[in-house]
Amino acid sequence: MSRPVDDLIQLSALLDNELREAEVEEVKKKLINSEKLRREFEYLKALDRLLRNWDRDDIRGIRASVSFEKNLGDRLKKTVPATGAAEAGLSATAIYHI
Amino acid sequence: MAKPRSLSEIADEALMLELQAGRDEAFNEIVNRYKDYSVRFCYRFVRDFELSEDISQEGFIRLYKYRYKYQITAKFITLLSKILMNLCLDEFRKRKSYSTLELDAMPEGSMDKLNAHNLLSDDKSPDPEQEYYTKELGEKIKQILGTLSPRYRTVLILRQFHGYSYKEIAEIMGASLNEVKIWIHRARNQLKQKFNNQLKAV
Repeated sequence: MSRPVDDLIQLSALLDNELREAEVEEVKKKLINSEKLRREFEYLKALDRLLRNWDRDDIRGIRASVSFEKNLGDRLKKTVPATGAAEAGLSATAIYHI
Repeated sequence: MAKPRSLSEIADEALMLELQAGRDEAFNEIVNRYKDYSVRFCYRFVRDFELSEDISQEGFIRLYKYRYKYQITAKFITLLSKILMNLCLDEFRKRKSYSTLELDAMPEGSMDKLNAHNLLSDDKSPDPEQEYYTKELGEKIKQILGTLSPRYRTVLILRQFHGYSYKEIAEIMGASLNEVKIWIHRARNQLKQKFNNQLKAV
């Protein structure tokens, strides 16, 4: 017999599609027989949806700025001097400025 | 004679080998491919755009310094993610935000609007008032995530926001599959309890 906490770990993994086929069947049987587990699973799904929706809205438009490469090149030249990076930082001044 | 392949046609891992061999233009190609990914990756940890750019740049510098040690044992993206994750965790340690951050009280009446049903509903409402509370909710999520330990916050970010599989998370975090599975469950459980506490507090 599994411990209640093991059932909850399996529920979380089921939500993430990380269970093997036999494990999925086992968890599904438990879901049919336990209202408590079903409530827990619904809550997990809702929490998952909530986080995803929030992240999707918050991350919208986030990308490297136009000065990202120039700033990186400047930093590289300071932190990795006298190596290929200086010229690669190179790239920082030569290519990155294109 | 065969024409040398353009860098844009080369796989990430091969680009690292080119860089190792002294072809520094390969670094430019890597930055070009992964700058947006890196900024987004860090942003999901720190939720601050300028800081995420700063950490991303530091990540590329580390990658450049690391180039001679690089071996094709894991996917390039795993290596880059690992470097960025460690830098983000260093940032958390500097700020110690996970251990000291207190949850602010929600504005009066907020929780009436954001009752358990609203919190977890998938409905999209154009109502401006609802939008205000949705924004408040976003701040609350950010705060609650900020109170999780770095380990739990990390597994949640990698799974929930980046969509990495347990195997990929295990590789990035240097953990076993079973550990990842348990950490994700515990992280969700803590999140749930913190949400419930917020609701009860009102």
